Amino acid sequence: MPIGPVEGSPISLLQAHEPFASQVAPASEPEKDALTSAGEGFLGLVIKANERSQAAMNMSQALAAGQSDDIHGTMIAVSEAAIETRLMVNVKDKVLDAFYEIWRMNV
Amino acid sequence: MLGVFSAIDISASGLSAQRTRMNTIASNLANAQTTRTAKGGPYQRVDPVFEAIALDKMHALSPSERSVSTVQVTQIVQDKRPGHMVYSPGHPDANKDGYLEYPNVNIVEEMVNMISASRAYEAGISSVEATQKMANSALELGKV
Repeated sequence: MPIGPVEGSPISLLQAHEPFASQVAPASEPEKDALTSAGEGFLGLVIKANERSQAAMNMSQALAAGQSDDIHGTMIAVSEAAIETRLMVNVKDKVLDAFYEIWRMNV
Repeated sequence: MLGVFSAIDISASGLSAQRTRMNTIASNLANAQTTRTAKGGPYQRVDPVFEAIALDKMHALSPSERSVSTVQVTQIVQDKRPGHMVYSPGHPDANKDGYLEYPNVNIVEEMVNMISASRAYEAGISSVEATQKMANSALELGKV
């Protein structure tokens, strides 16, 4: 018997926050300043991490519901999502570090 | 560009291929005594055929990276070797001389294939783990 995803579960609530795809501007135009393009680059990273997380979540859901038996595919998708998210968080940490470095500057 | 995720994808294709191979071995072992099939005659053992498939367009490979490829089972072929004949005249599938043809499955051979498949799967898992470790230690660079 096929089992559908549970309605209103934390997973579907997470999925309700759709990616920021609509917010990201098309590839860099020449007259953008460095900060804007860096921001867009980071946003791209967030979007990619989010996409991978969603893919991993969908696969886990299918596995849990018995619609798939791709164990290694699911585990790999989950760890790919973890790596991509860690990359994104590390970049965020680095950017914030740079910001606070300037914030703490003695004037 | 070849990166962390393409390496994991390649390993994953190997895992899937070995899983398919495990299915054929399971089929061969399960049908080792099957004397009746839909198209007549005893069961014939099957073997997967592995094919190297270029990584998909998503990875945007440079010309020098094109030879790096994933693996895929593109065919499952039947083994044409004859089965062994056993004299059992009472069996409904026996021929007119009273001989019954058993499948061409050799249990020992299948066991060897099974060891090979599970070791190859473990090797694939190890390569995924090693790639993950590389990615994680690269991410440690950001913590200094």
